[in-house]
Amino acid sequence: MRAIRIGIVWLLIGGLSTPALADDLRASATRAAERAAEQAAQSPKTTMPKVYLWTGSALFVGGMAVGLYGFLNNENGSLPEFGEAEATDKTLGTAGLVAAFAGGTVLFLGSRRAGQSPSLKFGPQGVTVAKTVRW
Amino acid sequence: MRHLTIRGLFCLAALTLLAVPVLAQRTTGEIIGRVTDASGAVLPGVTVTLHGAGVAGAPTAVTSENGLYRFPVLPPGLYDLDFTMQGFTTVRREGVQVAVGSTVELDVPMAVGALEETVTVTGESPVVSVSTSQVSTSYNKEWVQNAPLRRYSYFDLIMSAPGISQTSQLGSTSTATSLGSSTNENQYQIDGTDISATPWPNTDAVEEVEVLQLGASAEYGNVQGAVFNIVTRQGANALHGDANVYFQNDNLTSRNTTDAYDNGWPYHIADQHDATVQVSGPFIKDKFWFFGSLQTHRIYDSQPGVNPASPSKSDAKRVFWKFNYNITPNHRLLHGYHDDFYWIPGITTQFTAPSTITLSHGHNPTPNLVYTGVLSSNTVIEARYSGFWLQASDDPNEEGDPTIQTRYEDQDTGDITGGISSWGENRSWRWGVQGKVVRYVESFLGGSHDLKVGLQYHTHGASNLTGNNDTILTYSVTGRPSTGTTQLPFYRGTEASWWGTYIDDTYRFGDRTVVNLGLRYDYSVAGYPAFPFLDLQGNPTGEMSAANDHVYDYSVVSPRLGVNYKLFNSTIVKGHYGRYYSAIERDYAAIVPSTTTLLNFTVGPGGNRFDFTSTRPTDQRVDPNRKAPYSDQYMVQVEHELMTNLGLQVNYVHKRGTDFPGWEDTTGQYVQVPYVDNVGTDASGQTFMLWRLTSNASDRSFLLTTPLGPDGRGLYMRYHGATVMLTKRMSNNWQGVVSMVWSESTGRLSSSARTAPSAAQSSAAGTFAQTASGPNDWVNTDGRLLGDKPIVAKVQLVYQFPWGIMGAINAQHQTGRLWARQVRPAGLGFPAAPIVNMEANTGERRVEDVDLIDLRVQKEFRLGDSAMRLALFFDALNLTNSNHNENVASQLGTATTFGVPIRLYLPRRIQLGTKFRW
Repeated sequence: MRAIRIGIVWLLIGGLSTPALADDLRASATRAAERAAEQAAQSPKTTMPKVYLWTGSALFVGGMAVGLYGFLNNENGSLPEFGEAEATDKTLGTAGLVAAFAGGTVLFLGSRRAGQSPSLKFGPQGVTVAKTVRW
Repeated sequence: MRHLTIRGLFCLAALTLLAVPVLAQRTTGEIIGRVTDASGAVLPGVTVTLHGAGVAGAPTAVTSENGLYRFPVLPPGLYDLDFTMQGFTTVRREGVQVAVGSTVELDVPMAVGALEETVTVTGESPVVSVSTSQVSTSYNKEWVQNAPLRRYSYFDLIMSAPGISQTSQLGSTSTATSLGSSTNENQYQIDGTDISATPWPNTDAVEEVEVLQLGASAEYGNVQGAVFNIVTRQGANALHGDANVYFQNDNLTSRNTTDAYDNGWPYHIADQHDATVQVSGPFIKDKFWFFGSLQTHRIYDSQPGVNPASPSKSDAKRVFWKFNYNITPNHRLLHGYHDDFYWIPGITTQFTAPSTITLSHGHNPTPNLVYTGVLSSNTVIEARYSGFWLQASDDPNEEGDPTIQTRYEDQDTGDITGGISSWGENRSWRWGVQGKVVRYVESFLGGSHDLKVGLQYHTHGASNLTGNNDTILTYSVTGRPSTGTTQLPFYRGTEASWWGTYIDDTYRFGDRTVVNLGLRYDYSVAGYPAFPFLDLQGNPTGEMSAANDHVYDYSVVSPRLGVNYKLFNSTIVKGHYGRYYSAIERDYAAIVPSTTTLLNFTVGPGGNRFDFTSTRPTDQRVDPNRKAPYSDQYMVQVEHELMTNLGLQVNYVHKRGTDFPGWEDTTGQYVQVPYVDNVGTDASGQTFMLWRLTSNASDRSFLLTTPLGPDGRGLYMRYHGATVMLTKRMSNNWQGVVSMVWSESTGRLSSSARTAPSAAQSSAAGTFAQTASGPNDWVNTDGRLLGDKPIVAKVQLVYQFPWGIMGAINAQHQTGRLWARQVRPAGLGFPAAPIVNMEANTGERRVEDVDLIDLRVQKEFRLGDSAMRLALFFDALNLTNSNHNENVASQLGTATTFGVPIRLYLPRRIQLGTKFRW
């Protein structure tokens, strides 16, 4: 059981860590994805500042890993024992979850920040440079 | 265990890393259609653009040379579509509703004209479908969010479906029969994956519910009953949130009992509230969405006749989150996690002392991970992992009451005193991986095909530390000698796993005919691991019991066939046949060697115990060749669109189930003896032939098998039912589902013997024909099944009045559950007198019919010019103050409480609530 739980936690960590690997995955997209890429190219292309991207991703992935470990790990060992209902670390799980949402918030702020940066738009008419200005 | 783990991890890794999968089950729907010109000729090259909150950006499709377009794997919700082509007027279809598991067929004609001109059609999409042959019901968020419900758990929501008969409407009951199938034959899914009925998600986190009662395609294995599919909410590009509060108290609660019944203690609410906070939105727009939900839920109440100073204390704290990550618009990851920290007490009655009530508490973390890839307009793949790991303890409901305490059950008065029946430390788990590939072929063998191929692996099990308290049966009125049972604590548990693979095709001939073809293969195997032996003090001795990873297995093939013919544009005739097998049962825990022996004894006048006898000998085995239970299921259906957004469905359903399991005494010696039913209430004076044990009870050997029984007939079921269902989509300010089911459910299952009307109809072996009853379980058990309800009628309506006022009604009528008069004949040679039915299950003796009306009235306020809304509402639950009973205090004709109603439905309660959305 312990091996299963550990395996699943790592699987989830791996699965959730893909935000940081998204560029590689895009490169391997198939024909259908190419159409989507064309669509994506028609919308303003913005880049999230790296400090937001990596800080947010790290917090999110790390927080999720800690949170899932806290909620899934059984402190009673391999067999049920007295106090089974309370045999997980809910505090650790909650802390991990809070960290993950903090990471998500950093990504959110990063994407907002990216929206205020100059953007490049590639289309059939050529390249357009745009910048959002607020006052 | 090691074997299972390695194989499971290998499967997990293979399916995940190779990205082969997907799973078969459904969390999405699709829109397909054909575009034609005014003459009816197909139009290739039309650009179709989709808009909706559930998809990132605005996906497009281009019609093929046959004029066909398709948007697969769409989350449930409303969508708009634009059809554009040079030289033709643009067509816009707005408000197209996609339900879970649905195929919306949207054929669109385009007229010659200027591209700049647009023809807009709103809210018109077909309510009939020629693509599938199923009996299913979907509830969208309009109903989910506005349904007046008890809200004990999400089961109160999913049991609303037509033809679903819940075992009970009180407490934590989570089981139901569906069109005659037993409660253990259903499948429960969250976001498309089977997780059993164990995890209980927050009702407010549900986006849509699909109840698939018959006609499940080959994607679905190990299910003879209904598939309850819960699709949870998800984030999108807009930041939203909501906070919901529900409140009840004793001042808002009526009384539906008299002093004579409740001794001055009517149903009482000590504390009841339910609050949820949810937030959803983007971490990264069009890329990374989140949804989070927290709920706290409390019901402290006491049943009529129970001292309100000792309420049952039910609590739940539920957390749910979901993340959607769009790697690209066509490659998506989804992660969801649900956890339910719960405290659930048993149900008290006026005959049960508070100290006898068990409190089950624990939590069940339930994570899942899904990858969906739209490789092209013709190919979709999906991979899915999910599971849960429950940890729970069973303790006395009243804090401070001793856990180990003798329990007394008076067989003459029905009074139960002393301690809880057993304490326990429990784990159970279930996890699986699944993958599938869907390929659309437009022209092959004279038609088009939606071809699905999938592979599934699941494993589940339990591991328990159990301590059964000594239980003594007393006879305070008749004065018979008391008897009892005792058993030392023990570890035990069981495990099972299954592999399934399937191929399924939706084969379309022309515009009118669709054939659903499916074939699946399942291999299941069950076993048990090693456990520590315990000594007299309950401490491990250091020795381990033997493991057995192959107690028995099933290897089964299930064909499915559906034929659908469009008689007219608005009328479709359908037929379906399928063979459906049950999931492998872990019903053999009694044979796990670490189980201690259960001993019966007689109690002397001074309380001394003597005549210790083992009624559950250690010689118990499982027949390795036991057959896999299955049912052949037939359906004929007419589906008709009465008008826009209003559909009528009429079904005839027939099921024939066979090969259900039970126990056989293979060595005991029995003789038939006449028994005259002449004692107690309603004694008929008839003579029945019962079975008297003439050999030593402890020397018997029991075999868990597919029994034939003394009458040469095994355990089986038959179901005939006709259903009529009207479904109205939200338009013109109202929506609703109105249904009526007439049925007859007959046969003989394990639950046909010795079972109370509030118990679940089950086809699992249980203790049928074992221990204290032996072959007497076959006496008078043929007939109507426990879940038989000849009439089930339900009405669910939502109406949007002007000025932001909304009304909703949830009404139902169900025939009461049946029960039979029983006796405990002495002198049959068993250590404890067995319970035997003294009348067949004719269905003539029933508890009261269920007649319930729940009502909601809501007023919504818009706060300023923003999207913020505040809704205030009240629910009148059990508006008519019905007091139907779900059970009787005793079925024993000799008991003074024979037939006395217990488990009365809760009286009329007013539930106040508020919903704040932004």
